Amino acid sequence: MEVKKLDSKKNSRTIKEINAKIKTGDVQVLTAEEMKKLVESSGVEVAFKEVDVVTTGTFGAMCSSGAIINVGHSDPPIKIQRAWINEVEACHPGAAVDLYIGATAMSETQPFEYGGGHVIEDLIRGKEVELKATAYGTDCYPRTRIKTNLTRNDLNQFYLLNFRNCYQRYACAVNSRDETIYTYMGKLLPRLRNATFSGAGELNPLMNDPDYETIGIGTHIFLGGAQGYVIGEGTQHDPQNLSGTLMVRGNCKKMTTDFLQGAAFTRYGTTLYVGIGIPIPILNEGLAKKTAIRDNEIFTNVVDYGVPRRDRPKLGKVSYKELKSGAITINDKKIRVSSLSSLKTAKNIAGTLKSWIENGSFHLTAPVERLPIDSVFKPMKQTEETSFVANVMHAAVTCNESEKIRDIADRIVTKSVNHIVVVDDDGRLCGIVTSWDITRAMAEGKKALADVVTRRVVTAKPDEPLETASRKMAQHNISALPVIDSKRKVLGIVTAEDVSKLLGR
Amino acid sequence: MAQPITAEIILEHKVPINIITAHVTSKGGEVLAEVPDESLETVVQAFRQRGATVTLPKLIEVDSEKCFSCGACVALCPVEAITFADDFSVNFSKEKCVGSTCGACVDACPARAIKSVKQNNSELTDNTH
Repeated sequence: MEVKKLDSKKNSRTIKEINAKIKTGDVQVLTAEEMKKLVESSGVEVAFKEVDVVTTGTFGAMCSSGAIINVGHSDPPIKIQRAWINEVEACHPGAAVDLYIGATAMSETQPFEYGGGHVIEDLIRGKEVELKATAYGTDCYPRTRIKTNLTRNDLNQFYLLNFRNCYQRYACAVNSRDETIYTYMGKLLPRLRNATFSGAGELNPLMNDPDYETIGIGTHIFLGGAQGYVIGEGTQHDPQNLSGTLMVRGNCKKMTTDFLQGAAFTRYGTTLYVGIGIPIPILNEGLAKKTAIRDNEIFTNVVDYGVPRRDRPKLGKVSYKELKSGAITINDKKIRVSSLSSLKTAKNIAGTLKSWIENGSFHLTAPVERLPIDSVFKPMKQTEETSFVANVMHAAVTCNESEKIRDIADRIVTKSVNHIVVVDDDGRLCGIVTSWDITRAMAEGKKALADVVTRRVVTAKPDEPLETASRKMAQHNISALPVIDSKRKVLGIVTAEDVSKLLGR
Repeated sequence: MAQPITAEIILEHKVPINIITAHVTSKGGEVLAEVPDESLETVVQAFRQRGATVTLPKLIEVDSEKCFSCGACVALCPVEAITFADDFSVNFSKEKCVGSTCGACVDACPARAIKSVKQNNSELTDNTH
């Protein structure tokens, strides 16, 4: 390989110089993977001298995505008030016929299976979609209803406008609960039986330029198989926690579904998988060194998604190297782990962007304003008190397993309750019996409590939000949850009545 | 009257039947068994003639057009029928897959590329004939 060497005295290069080399076909481009190998084998100095650009890539579920669509004016014209594309409601934040279709908006007829992300994918695929809209009618826009079929060629503007993409890194998710949960981090089996993660690690664009030296407003990028731009930092940009994000824009009419796909997460909702690749110009030795970052240097927290709170417990730290290996170890337990984002497509993006630059079809831009490096991601200010199980639970009426059914029937009447919590001598949960269980036992002539106790008890923790407790009761079709501590000691009980008194106010 | 029908069928048709799980009481029971493909029809008919209800577990099928190799299914597979290749393509092994008796991957696929499908031999799946 013949390499055009830099002037040996020169310790920097400019984007203008790189673009000149792209024009003449002399540019030296490596994918992030290739760059890491070069730095390992030949060192930072050589890598800086030989490489002009390093290409990165990521392909993952990016919920804060969507497309701005202008559908043109009908005759007579309509000022759209509400609109649906393939039964997915679009926002109408502006004038008459501008719509924004969000990735997570769900179809009213196929919720959780088809959503805004799928509408965008279908349009890019060239499929026809159905637009339905209603309006209140004005003197200038008299029409109140419209129904029409459109393809992407019928749209004026069709731009991807994503307000949070490309997280620099993301948490690894596990679930400590006794039941499988379905989250935006995928399906999480009970008792930490699997783990999921997202992000491309050492291939991630922001991870290869962690000080955002070259990335900011106006950075020319690969977006969904077309060329797009960074238009600023993304929402929830959190640079001080190595969790930067991007806001991006690109022309959907030029995108391909290899790099932009609608997706559905069971019991969570729909989203859009977005492919982003950013070229990092190697302007100085520092950037050569930064783009050499490896997966074993990038750490993330293992977070318990079984706890439905903003600050979920962190169970440990793992590197992306461990995550990509298929197994992590938490509390001496080996847990199988797999990604939600496609590392295969991330590599493909870095490779495609490299070929675009090499064949002169993609040029680099210097940002007109860099991404913030000191902003803070604040939690929500809440002016209304939130209710937790501890706020409404009350003392449980208990019994132990050796008691007679007759005595428990008496207790149900005298204490006027429907649920008796069965505990051992230390007050730990053994089971639960309801007035219905006791009535049936007496009708069937059963005497031993052990025959009627429910032993697989659905429980609540005192710091659990009331909404979660209410959801559990609805899901299991039950009307009370014993409240227990981490040692399964019974602290009280919360009933459907307690919940409806508070939430139904 | 309890009859050793599995033993009878093995002897009569000289077919190896591998019992994977069995829950049998005096009133009846359920047996999950593995049968060689070439003897499937014979064995199913033989069980049905003896009054047993036979169902065939559905197969798991992956639509490779829809799959974008995210890997959401990989760690969920209890028999390692779904694995990553070196280039992080997701590979699915039909031979290792235990079918709809498991199905852990089906509702975890964001691309909805994994489906439980009936065996294509419709004569065997119809229990009434």
